[in-house]
Amino acid sequence: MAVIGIDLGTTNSLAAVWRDGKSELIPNSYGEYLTPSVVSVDENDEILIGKVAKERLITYPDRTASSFKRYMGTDKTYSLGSHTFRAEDLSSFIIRQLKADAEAYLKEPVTEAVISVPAYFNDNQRSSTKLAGVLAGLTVERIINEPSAAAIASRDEEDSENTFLIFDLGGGTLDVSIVETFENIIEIIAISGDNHLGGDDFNAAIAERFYHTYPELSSVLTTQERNTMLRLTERCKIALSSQSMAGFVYDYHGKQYEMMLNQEQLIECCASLFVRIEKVILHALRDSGKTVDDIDEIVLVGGSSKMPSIQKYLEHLTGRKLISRVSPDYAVAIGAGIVSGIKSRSDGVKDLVLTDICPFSLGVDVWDDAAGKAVFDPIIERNTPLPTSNIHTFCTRRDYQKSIEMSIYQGESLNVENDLLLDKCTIRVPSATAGKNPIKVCFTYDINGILDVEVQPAPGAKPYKKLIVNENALSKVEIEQHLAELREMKLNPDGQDENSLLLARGERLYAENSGQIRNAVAEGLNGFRTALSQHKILEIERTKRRLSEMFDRIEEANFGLNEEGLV
Amino acid sequence: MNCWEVLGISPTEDQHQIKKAYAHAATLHHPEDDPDGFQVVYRAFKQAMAFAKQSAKMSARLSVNREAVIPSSNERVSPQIQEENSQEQPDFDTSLLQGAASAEKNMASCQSAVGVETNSQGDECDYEGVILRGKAEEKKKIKAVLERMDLNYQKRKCSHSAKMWKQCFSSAEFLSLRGNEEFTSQFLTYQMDHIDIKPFDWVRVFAPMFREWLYYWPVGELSEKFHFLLRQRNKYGFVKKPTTRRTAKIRFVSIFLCVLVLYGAIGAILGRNNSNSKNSSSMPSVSVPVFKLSPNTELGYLFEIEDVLIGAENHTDYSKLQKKCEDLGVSREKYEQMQAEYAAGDKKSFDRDQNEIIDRNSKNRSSSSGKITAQSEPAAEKQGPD
Repeated sequence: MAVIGIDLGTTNSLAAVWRDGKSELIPNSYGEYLTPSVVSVDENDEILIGKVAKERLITYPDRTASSFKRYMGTDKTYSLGSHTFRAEDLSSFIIRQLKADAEAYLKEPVTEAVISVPAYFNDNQRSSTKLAGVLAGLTVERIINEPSAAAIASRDEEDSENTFLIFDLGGGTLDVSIVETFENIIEIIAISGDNHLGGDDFNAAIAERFYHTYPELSSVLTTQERNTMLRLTERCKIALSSQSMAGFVYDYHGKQYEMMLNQEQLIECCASLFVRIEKVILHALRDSGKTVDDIDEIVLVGGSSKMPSIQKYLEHLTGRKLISRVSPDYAVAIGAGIVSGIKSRSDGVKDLVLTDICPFSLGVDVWDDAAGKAVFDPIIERNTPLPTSNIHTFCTRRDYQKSIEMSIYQGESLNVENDLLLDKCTIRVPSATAGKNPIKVCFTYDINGILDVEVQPAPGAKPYKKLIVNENALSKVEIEQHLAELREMKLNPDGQDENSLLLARGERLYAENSGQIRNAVAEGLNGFRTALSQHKILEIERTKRRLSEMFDRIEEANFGLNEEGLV
Repeated sequence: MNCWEVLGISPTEDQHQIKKAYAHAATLHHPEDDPDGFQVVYRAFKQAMAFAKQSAKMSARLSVNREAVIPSSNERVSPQIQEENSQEQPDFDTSLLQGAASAEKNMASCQSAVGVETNSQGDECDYEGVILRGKAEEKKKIKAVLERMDLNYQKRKCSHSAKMWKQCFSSAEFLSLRGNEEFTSQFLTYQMDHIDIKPFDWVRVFAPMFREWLYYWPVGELSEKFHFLLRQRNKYGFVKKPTTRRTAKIRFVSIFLCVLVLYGAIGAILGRNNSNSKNSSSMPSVSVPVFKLSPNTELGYLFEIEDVLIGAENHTDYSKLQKKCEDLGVSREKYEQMQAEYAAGDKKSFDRDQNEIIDRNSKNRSSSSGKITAQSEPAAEKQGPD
């Protein structure tokens, strides 16, 4: 019976476990820590997850889904093959895969998990994440904010007192948090973030620049071709991390389009994203009541923070040294692993205390006579330490009013239209003249970030309790049904070996290339398939080696512009 | 249990020590094992840190003041420090120009306010202890008063409840708590939860008192609460009833019936003793005084005078108050002093002042009675809260 910590990312997911006094990352069947958060359905209606699914993103775009974390807690559905999935279902497949990997690695059943979410995830999104864990057959012990997990992982055990800024730029989200550590205490002081800013946006920005250079392409490309383009831009961006200049060639119906980028050009085409980053950092500093001078260090978390342009920008902005005690890719998972250790009260982290905060304001709408409209009345202010509880007293507006309509909002704007509506309810109140009856509204926000609302319509009256129910979410019966349905769906066990990965990779290369290369790929794949069907182990091994070398060469050639001549 | 007791340390300014104590206490009440206990510890930690930060700020200012006071140390004050402090405290330049004596005084008041120990004076007082003890005592007092109020509230249907309330509100503890924000806030919350006080008590005791208290909180949350409470009741102390169509109809019919009955009754009286009618109409017309100024008035004297002075609605309007005070020949300072004296229970001087006003007023009335009646009308109209 083990508890694992899961970092359910937009692009990659990984798991860690607390073992032998430290947080240990769990490798998947390829011996890698990162499992791409991609789900694909193959011809036999079996589910493929991770690397193989990522390869199929280009060959079978209509059967493959990625970046679905952005749509957690929404109604958006994905139809893959004959199935229709919600973002929760797709996430549950990923968690199931991670669970299976962990069980294989730990050689014991995994029943409980700590799952990390971006700090700015709202109530709906948190509940959806929890549901995804339940659908994967896990008890979700704790939902933890990603920056808090990263803070735990990046804690310097020797330095007694420290204030640092955690800059977590992942695939799809940016979270900036200010953290204070001393003794065995980790205190989150302020969190700010942008739910729609991440590495994917940088890829899109580069692609946008490409379409701008070749306007004739922008209107004719299909979804599949656009996905290929995003993949190319992503690799170009990653290449720019290690070299001063990188580029790619896009082959469209025999015609070659190429683009070269250097650091300045990258910054130029992503300028609007940098401005958004600055905004978030300033917001976090303002909320924490600290200045840049109070910050000792900046901790980088998340794959996208490895970009040198971003690191330089941060150094320029703050003048602090940037550190990453653990690899930015793994920090959140390691932190989640430590939290699972704290949760199970393991030795070594027994005394570690983490105090988290509520990153947004929660409240109800009230009638403002002066404004003549309903305005937002925050009951729990943002950056309040968790768990917290607060009561506001309201009164009726009209005489002999029978009921009140209460809407629960999350946000910072006085104007309720700009805030996120979490729930609505109608509550009967005793008949009385206007303003006579005090109505008490109590908000309780627990340590998992789940909101509980209690309304007392009159002194001494029976309180009306309400747990926020996600309207988009499923009811209990539906969950049961859904769970049974999903159980029937099998994860393709063969989908995790290297052979299918090689096949998927070959199919992708076939789709990406043309002419001679395409023929060569097809030939190689055919040979490999024959070897597989004949079950000749030696033959399979030999073909596999040859084929992967060939694929490597093809990819290098496609992408080799940066290595030969052009730099 | 105050925050220092929770953390298990004596009051200190040392943030490091507070953090250490908190870290230790947090391990004893770990949030996973004892979430409620941890909440208490966490809150205590926040309070202690707030205290320490405030003290540090004040002592920083003190040290600057001290350097400014000692002429020989002027050279030591580097321009950088001066600049920093002028940013913090825009009027620092003027305080530099002030004499040494006033700076000394300033320093002393700062010390007693935050309880910073300084060696410059030579005497090391336990300021923190004094402050903490004071706070604890205050809390005890608040609790006692609220308990007493609760007792009264339980007996609110008794015929002599107004007297009980008055006793409660004229008690020394209660008067000493006037202007205390925490107490006011608690008191108001209590009132809002127990709005069903007898109308008579409301008019005689609560409404005037609230109006007086508004002096202390002219704006802000507390003021809003006061206004909310005052709005709850009409001028006779009944909880306000709205004019709906139905009530309007009933009212119309009842007034109509009353008029009919009255008309009949008057007609009957007039018909029966026609000769007496002249007598009754020749009653001397007496202008009714607006407020009674008998020296025996126990409580509510100030409140009544105030009602007349400024009108119930505009009681926060200082300029109007000033004007009215001038009209009556009482300076505002004098007025406030009277209030204070009354609060302190200094009856003698209070009575003296009162008599003075009565004398002056009687003179006024004899000289120009028109003025008084003119004054009385709006005041009478505005007696109740809107």
